[in-house]
Amino acid sequence: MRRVPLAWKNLTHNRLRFVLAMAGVGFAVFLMFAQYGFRNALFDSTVELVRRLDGELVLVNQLKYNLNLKEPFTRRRLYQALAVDGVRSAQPVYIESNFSEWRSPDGVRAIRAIGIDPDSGVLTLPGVQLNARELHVADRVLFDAKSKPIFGPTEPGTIAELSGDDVTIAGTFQLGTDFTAEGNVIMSQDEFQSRFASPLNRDPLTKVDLGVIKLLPGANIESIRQRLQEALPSDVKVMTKAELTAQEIAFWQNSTPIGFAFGFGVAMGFVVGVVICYQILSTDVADHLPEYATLKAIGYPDRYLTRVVLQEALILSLLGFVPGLIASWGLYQLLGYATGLPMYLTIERMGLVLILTLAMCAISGMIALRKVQTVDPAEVF
Amino acid sequence: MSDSTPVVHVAGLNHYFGEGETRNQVLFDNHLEVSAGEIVIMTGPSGSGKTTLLTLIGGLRTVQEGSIKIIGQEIRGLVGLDLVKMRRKIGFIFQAHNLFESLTAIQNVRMALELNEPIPADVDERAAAILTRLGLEHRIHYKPDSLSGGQRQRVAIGRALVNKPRLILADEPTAALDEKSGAEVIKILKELGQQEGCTSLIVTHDNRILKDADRIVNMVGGRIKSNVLVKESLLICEYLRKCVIFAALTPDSLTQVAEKMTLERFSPSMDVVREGDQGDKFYLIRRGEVEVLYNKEGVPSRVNTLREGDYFGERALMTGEPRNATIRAISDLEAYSLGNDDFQQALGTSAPFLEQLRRVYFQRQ
Repeated sequence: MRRVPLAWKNLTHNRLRFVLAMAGVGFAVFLMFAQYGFRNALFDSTVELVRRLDGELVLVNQLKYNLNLKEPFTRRRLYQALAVDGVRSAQPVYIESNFSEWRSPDGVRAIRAIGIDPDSGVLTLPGVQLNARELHVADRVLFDAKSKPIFGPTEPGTIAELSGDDVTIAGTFQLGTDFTAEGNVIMSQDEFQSRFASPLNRDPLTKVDLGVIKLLPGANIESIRQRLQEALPSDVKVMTKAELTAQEIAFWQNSTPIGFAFGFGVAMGFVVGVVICYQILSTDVADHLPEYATLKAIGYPDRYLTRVVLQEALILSLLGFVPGLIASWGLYQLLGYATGLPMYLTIERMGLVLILTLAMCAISGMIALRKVQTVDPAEVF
Repeated sequence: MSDSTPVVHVAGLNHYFGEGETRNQVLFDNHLEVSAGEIVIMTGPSGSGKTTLLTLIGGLRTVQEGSIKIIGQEIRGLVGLDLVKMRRKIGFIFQAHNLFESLTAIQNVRMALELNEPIPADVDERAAAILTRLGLEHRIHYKPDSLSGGQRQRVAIGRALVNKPRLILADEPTAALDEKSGAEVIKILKELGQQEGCTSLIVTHDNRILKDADRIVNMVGGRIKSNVLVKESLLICEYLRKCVIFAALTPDSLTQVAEKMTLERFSPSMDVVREGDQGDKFYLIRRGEVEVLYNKEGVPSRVNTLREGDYFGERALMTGEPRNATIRAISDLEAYSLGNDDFQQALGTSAPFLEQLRRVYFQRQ
């Protein structure tokens, strides 16, 4: 026989209060999602380029602890890597952020220029693969459609100026911005060579920023990584994409206040949620104190009352989570569109916020509970 | 457990509030016995401890000193879940109905039924049946805010009664109700007492319902001052009226005298009063017979036999002389006694008559 669902009835008796309660918890959920989303987006954005490299392993300079650090290694290491068993290809990626300036009618802005072999397929970006052939033509580049809008018009065919010479935008791709790059432009390595050669750096192509290593099918990634590391001089390190991603995120997390700031934001959302949820639950408990005391008097144990309050907390957290999630999804779409930041709403991230929401309501439930447990049934007489 | 086991048995009950310096005794050596089916009304000024006594009987407070047995079970020393489970045997009715506003009448009643483990399959039927019996068959699915005060209190009564408790404890159940609803509530409790042997212990200030009680317990200052069976009290009044000493008292004063009398039991051949003793009590025979013995030259001789409705012991109280005869029980004897102070006070309410009586007694010498 089903029990009278007291928790649900008490919570929903006053419709308006119930809706406000859901909105309150939803707001806290939204806050947490927003802060957590910004944090993730910023970290995701810094490794978006790594994620798009078509290879299992990446070669970087031993000293490069952060992707934006201009610390290239000699191209020779790629040829040496090719000699190791199990390696199918080793492709260079060149990055120039310091000397690349995009001039448009709207002004001059620094932009991240990426040089690749157009035929290598080293970047898995669909726009690049589609338009790679265009890059064989001199003065043609591909432009990141998710760059900030400050770069002026970016439709294919637009003519602008990159580091002093005219370029034509031959197509677009979607990569996105990060902490340091407001926009991206991709060109062939020949184009890269001609644009960024300088008296101090006559042949930029000899200094590789990222070496992308693709393995033969079925190769054991870890054993080849070790073999490569042993075969190559110690001025480079061989990392899996996951390791490089983790190193990059750890850098931003630990060496900048970003991780803390947004972690703090999530914590604030959590605290706000606890306060809101506690308000709702304690009001409910206070309003029903004589009734709860009566339940105790007629023979309900504390255990039952504890269960009722915690059930209310659970219902609140689940019902508040849904609108919070929907609103957050909207926010992610909007921000992803407006800022070019990668706002991913993965199952894991939803799971984490859901757990935080449950914890939030459980904590406030337990605080509100003390009042129910201390109520003296003799007081109702 | 036999039917004669009292439903409530209170003995030597003391209770204190506070601790240490501020410890304050609120109940003093209380004794009370209530049998099955009785409706007991507890009256007394506020602060006299009647609600405290009720909460102790209901297991809502911890018994500190003395003993309380509910249907034969000692509740002193019960703690935690045992105490909680004991409370399930009792139906509680409060001054406020304390119904959940979010639940319908039937759901509120079900809350009490769901205390049973496992929950019976027919909870809805049982809840509906009790509500129907309380005249709420058309209000079963109404929430409290669409019920009248009397209807709400009836739902609360339904919740208290649905598990068929043998004891109902009620605190001012009629205080929040108009006269008609209040009378209805008492009527329901009375019917239950008659039909199911359900005992009710009701704390009230409501004089309108006193007439419905089987027993009235009056508390003053933490003590049970009088504990009177109402029918018994009427009988005593009848007998007292026949006494020449009390005949002139108003019915109100007679009732007061009756309420002050306490029942004493004597075995055959026990002396109730001894010749030559100082007089301390007045007696009225309720059951049994006594013989009156005068000491004639060292040999006690029977001069009279007294039986139900007869009285004795008044002379020594009125004249202040020692007892002039010995009264000895010749069968099992139940007699109501009245202490000297109360006796004098009762007579004092009828001063001219007192003079007259004194004359009568002096003439007889």
